[in-house]
Amino acid sequence: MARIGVFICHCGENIARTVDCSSLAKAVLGIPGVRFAVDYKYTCSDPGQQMILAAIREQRLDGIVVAACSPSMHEATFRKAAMIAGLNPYLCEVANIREHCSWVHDDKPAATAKSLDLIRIMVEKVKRNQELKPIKVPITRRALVVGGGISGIQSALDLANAGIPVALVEREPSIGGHMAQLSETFPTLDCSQCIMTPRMVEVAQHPLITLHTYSEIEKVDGYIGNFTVTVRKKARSVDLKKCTGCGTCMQKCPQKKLPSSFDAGLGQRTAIYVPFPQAVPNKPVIDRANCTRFTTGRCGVCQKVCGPGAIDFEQQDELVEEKVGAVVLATGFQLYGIGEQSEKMLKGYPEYGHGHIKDVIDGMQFERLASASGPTAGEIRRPSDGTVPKTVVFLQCVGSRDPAKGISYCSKICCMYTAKHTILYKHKVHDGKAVVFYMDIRAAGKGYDEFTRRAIEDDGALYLRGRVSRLYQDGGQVVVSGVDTLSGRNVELRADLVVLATAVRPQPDARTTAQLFSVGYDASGFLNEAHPKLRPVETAAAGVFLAGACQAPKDIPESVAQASAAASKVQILFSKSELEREPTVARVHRAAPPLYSICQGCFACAGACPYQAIEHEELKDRRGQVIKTVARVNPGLCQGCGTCVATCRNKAVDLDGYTDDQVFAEIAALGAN
Amino acid sequence: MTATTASRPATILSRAALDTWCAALIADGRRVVAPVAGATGVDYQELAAGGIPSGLGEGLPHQSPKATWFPRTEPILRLERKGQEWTVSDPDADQTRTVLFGVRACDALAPEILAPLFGWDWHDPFFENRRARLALVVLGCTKAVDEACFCTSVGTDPSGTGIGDVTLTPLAEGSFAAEANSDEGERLLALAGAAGAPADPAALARTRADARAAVPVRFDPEQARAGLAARFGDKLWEKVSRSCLACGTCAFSCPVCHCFDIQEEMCGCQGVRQKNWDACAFPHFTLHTSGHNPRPDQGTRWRQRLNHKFRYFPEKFDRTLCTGCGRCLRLCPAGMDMLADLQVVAEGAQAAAGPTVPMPTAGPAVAVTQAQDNPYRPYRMRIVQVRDETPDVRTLRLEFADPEQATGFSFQVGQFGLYSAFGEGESTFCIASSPSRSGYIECTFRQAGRVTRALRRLDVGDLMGFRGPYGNRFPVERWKGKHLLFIAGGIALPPMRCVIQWCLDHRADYRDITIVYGARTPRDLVYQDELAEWERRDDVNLWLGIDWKPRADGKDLSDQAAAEGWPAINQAEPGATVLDPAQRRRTAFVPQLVEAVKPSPADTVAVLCGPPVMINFTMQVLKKVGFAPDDVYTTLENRMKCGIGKCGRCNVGPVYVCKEGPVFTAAEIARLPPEL
Amino acid sequence: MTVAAPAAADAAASANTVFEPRLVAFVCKWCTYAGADLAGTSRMLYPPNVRVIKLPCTGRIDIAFIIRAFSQGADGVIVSGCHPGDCHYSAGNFRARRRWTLFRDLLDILGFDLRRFQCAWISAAEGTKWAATIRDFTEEMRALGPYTAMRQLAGERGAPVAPRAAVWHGRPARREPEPSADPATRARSEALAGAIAAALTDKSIAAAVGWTLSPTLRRPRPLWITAPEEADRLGLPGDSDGNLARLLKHPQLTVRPLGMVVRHAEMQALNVLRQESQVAEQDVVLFAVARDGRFLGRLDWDAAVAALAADAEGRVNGFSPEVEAEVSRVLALPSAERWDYWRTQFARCIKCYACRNSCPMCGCEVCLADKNQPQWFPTAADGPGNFAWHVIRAFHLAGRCVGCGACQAACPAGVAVNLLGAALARSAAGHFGHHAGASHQDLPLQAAFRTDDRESFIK
Repeated sequence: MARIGVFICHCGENIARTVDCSSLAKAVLGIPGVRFAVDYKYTCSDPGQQMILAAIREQRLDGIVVAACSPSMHEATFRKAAMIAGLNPYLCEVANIREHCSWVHDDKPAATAKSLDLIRIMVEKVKRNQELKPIKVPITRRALVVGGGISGIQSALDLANAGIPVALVEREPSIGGHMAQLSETFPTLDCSQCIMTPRMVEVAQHPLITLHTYSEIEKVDGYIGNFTVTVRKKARSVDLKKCTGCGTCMQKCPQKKLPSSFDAGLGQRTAIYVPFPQAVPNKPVIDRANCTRFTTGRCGVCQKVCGPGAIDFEQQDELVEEKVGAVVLATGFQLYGIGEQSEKMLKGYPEYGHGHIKDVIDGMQFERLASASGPTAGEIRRPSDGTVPKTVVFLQCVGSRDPAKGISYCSKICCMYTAKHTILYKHKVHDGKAVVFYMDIRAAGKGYDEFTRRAIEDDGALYLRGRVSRLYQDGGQVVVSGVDTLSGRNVELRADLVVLATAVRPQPDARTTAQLFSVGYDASGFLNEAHPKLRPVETAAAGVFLAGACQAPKDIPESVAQASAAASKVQILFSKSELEREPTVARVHRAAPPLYSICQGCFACAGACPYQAIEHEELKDRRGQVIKTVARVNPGLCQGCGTCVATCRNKAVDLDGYTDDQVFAEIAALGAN
Repeated sequence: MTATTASRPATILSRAALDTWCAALIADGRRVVAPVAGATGVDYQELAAGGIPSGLGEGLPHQSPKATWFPRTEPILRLERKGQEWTVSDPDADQTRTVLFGVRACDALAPEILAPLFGWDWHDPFFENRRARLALVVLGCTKAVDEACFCTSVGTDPSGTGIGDVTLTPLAEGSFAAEANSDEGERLLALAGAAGAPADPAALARTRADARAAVPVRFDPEQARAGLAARFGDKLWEKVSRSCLACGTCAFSCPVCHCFDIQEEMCGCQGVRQKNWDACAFPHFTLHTSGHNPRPDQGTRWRQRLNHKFRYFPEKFDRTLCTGCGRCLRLCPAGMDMLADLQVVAEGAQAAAGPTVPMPTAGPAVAVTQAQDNPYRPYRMRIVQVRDETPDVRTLRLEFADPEQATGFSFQVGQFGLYSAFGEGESTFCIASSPSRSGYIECTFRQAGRVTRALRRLDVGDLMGFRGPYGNRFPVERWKGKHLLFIAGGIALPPMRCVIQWCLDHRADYRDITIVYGARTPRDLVYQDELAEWERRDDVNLWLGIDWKPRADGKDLSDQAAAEGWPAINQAEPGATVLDPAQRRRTAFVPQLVEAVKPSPADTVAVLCGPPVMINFTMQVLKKVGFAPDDVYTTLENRMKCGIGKCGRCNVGPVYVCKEGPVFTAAEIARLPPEL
Repeated sequence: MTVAAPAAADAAASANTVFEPRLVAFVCKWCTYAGADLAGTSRMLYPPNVRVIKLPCTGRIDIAFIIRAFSQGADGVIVSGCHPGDCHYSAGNFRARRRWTLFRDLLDILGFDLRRFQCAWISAAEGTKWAATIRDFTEEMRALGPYTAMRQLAGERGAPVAPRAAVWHGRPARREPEPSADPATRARSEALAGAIAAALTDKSIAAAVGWTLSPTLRRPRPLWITAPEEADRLGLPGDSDGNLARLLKHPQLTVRPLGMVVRHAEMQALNVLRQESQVAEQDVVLFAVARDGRFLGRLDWDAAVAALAADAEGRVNGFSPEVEAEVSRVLALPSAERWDYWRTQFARCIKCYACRNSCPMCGCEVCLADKNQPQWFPTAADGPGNFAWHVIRAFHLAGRCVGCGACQAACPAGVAVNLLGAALARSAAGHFGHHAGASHQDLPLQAAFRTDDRESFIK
């Protein structure tokens, strides 16, 4: 590096008004290494760029500094010009003498002096710049979708239909997620399963989709374009190849009284079971925790009755490696539930009876009661005695928007599904009374407000604005004690059934998922997008995208839309065979023996790296003997923040483009006038 | 300090009179450095006005007063940049007169011991100035501080008799007998105020004799010298150095350790080049840029420390480089024990009469003329040409920026210089051009460290620094009428290019000239234009080799090499091969190529330069074909800082490579310790 | 700092003209740099005193940059980046915040005027905040006047002798009693040596490090042995301040497992080294020795930690009461006197690196002080060079220094090296509840962070 050219832009009057550009051009020639300097009216204009081009060639410049506007404006322009002239684009730097100088100062000599300093800083930097080449990362054209709810299914189908092989991983024995549990959907009241199950079947039959149900993510290695994901396929105890799905085993299973999670605890299932009749795959799984065979060693009825001999008590978990180039996380949500299964969840609500009162249920349970495939075959019957409730009280915002309960956000879907519940209830129990306690009705969406109005106006639901302070059992009924804030009166109602619109929560293990994939998460545990406005589908981990309610409470159309968006982001990523990355990445020192590397292997850098880009590497001598284990930066993962460099005590790691040598030279330039 | 002939009687001064005397010395405009007592011992400190030497007689100060004649950091050059131009100037000399008051004999002797080194050919004006302005008021010891005192073993008189300018002898009654040893001492004593009563010479002599007897002789330095030579390769060094922490405590606390580093730093447009203390215990002390370290472990470093003090230095300057103060024992955080180690090696050794390794003489020394007071001041050179030899090797052609300096400048074949990128530092390279091509000098270097990277940032018209020429030279006149064989590998052709150019410019003086040069790949061969010219000449036999070895991915590139005109040598019978003179470019390591060229040793001088591995194997080949070690020359590239025999870094055995080298014969190198 | 007397600057200050401070800002390119851009596009006027150095993230800002900026003549330095939670790299600013907390404490300990080093969060949207911050900072520095403390250090270049009035913090020379003189000592010493000999015999260790007495001065010195018959040379640590854990880094001592005589100090050091993957549990076999020389037995890791902690009587680090008292005394001084205290202390330093080389935590294969691209510290053993060395070393030890005192005992110049470690240990404990070496499971202080780490000092 010896021949630096400096181009000083007037930016019309924008710079020239407060910076004396021509005397600056003369002064710049006093900076060591500057061989050429010129000032020009509009450097970014085509003639301006041509001038740069010509100067690089004629003056044999091996580095240039353009003193102009902020690099965010035209750095790319000037670097491109340098590249056309045959100079590595990273040998071009921009000194920001407009935004950081001419526009914010009015004293011409002082602004000119400051401009000279800013140029000097960049000259010293560019003298030490290295020719950098964009990092090329090969891409595995195969995607992983985590979560088999409607979001995951949509992403998987979109991708597969675009010709991209997909691995879909679902934790439960069947895909379908929450949507499969719903009765009808708002605001159209079409049957949820009717629109869901064909999509589930399509997934199962798609030649490009590999389905891993009853499976979890064990380990994630690699980086954008090149992930290796280990999937743990939990032992089903049923050989899927042999099983015909005849169901005899379930009929014969003596253990019949287990709460069905699909039915939100309202129905029962056997120890060997399929979660619901339309499950995909429609083959049973043994719930080992509750199977007599596994808990006591006796029994084995299912094995005896199974014709094809598909029952395998010895089956082990299986680890499968999936090599993929991108990941869509669609791990969904859970409800702030009540009832036996989820009693832990409602501990914060002693005033609502801790979930002990049988006729206090949550929204999902009501869905199952209303569902034709549910435990009551679609009749609304209350859990305690099976009678048809004549007064149903719906409480909204149970948990949501209540910082005291640790949830400050709005769960977004409850206003709509409560309205739907009142309609469904009124359609089934014509003489029934539906009362809703609400805080605000939030029904923004296509046809949504009309839907809530319909509940109130056409179907006669009574909406009371207010909060319920207490629920308690009195005889066969639940006393609802609250306040109507519009009238200011205390209200006490006797209800046959109370439905709580409990909050939408992240999955309990969402943080673990986030950590596995190096994705950020918010205080509640919802996964974080890369940018709330401009990159709502991407995450901080390159190549990992979000779909559905794992990110925040969402309804079905939103989830589907984002799922398709995530799929299209993956397709954009896969549209090239190689990925080009900014070459400003960290690098760990390597040297010839006997030093090998000055890295000590303390891995403080690994602790400081937000991207898990630091790997262990064994350095070996010629005979293959391990000399030491040192850090290595995976350039595919590194984003170039440089935190590792500042953390490393002896600077065994440095950051290309912002090396310590460069920064020290920039600092030294400050004192050198 | 001029010794005086007249005998002066000692006078008696009370303790209080000494305090008054110090005040008078300060009032006289002198800096007085004296022992000051603290809670945990005594420390040499500069006395403020009114300060008293409160630590007088309270044992030995923690640190030696070395900094008074050899500061820890001493500017040797000032740099200033104005735009693209640089000026260099000497720092102001310290004009303060210093009195080291109450200094112990072991500390007081140090400047005297160091004087020959700092005045050896080149005069170090910084040391000499400080020493000239230093007066020593020596306080005699009456007993050993502890078992680590061994001054009497190395010839130091603990009573301080005759040492320094004034000797103070503590008397039983708490007063001191003060005796001037020089005119300066007389002047100092005159400031002590009213002359005290004369001391009884007999009693004084007795007191001093008692003091000498109080410090037992713990070993015989001559025996130690012999023992060090005899046990050079001993396992002892590894064992005793196990606890060594590789810090600089021993060297930095030692009154006579004088090795230094030269570094520079800039602040804004102004900079300073400075000497900093350095220590042979630091692993970096001898580390080459290539990563090779001639003294790779603490054992060899500890051995060097003892050998340098008790063997090499005495053989050169006839004095032990140790005053026996014992600080290196007391202050070592790891309990290293030089005294015990010396006792071990001295035990049973037969004292040798002469030097234990003969001094080399092959490369004739070049007479030194110190053109300027400050030998560390470089000439400002202007770059007139930049040539890229390979992607990372560059040649700069330099001319004197101040033309009058050029007229007095000359150098000889094989000498080297220190080249500086102002503000960054200096690097050592041989002068790559021949004195027969006057008006400029050239240097060729590979980008490796801080300085070479900075040199690469320079362009035609820029200023840089050069000082030299240094070192000995090739005995080209002795080679007249002989065949010459030059063998070089990689970046080692530049140090040889000077002598090759010289011989080609005096072609008639020599018989056949054969050049064997190899590099990793064709594009790593330097001086492509010159190689082409030599190839064309029919009075030069040029053989080029590349060692395109199979790559890491297992791909053998030899076919490609052959296709590009570099066929391999028949490896089956390398010894039998005599290469086809029509095909002078081959794929072969340099030693193989030499073997295949089959040089005749008769009447032939071989000059060899390259990386250690190449030198090793080529030497074996030359030996095999019958070259005598006396006829094989090489030029060494040790780590150097000063280039003028002061900084101690290039010391190997009895040799300072910068002064007795860099040119040696293989025979001489074989006699040197294996620390190259 | 300038090499020549900074006459121009001083003259300017003394003349009637307004002093114009030189300010340096290290900013991240995503938030603060863009915020400054916004100030520009919004044409917000502010004084032209600041020079911006753009970095990718506040996490990239090395404290050495800040020191260098001051030593190159800056009158004030500001560091700024994205607000917590907004980091483009998700958490770089959290690490930066922890670093700044410690660094500010360190500067405060040194008596550095903290007003000259400011920290801020300025987002890309906060052009107004950027302009106001620079305006205020410039005003404040104008009022404070030129920063002369660093220049004063530069004026001490090449001082030929130890400074007047600096306190000598070296340890007085001591001599260990001969083991043979005291039967109890001999018995303890033999118990230890016997256990090590047995371990060498049954090959459960390949070598052992312990203590012996140096031949001449009879002071404890480290000894490593490889054969059982050498074990009789081993003695007790006595009151040596050396730390044997340092020897794990000895380039020649590469055999494992290594038997090690451990006291509380060694054990704490081993805990930190284990956190930093520098030693694994199976690499060392521990022979624990109590403060009074009792051999506590060959113990596994957790047992040795427990036994030695019990022996240490609840002291969480190794700083002696005298050191703690001196730290309290120095911290209670007015800041100008603190600066003076350290200035004279550092002026003693001869840069022999005995502190580094005796420190069990200073294990870098090539120390920053030995690197010259860039030249991290001035090489000279003078004001600026010694200041940079001690400050950066202290910072590298923040949260890691276990207070064994090896550095202090090693320093031949009697510099109070240990005090900085002790003062920073208080910061680590006070702000982050971090005690170096308490357990091998703690996260390294400077690589970790909490989202609720303190940040009241950040504007």
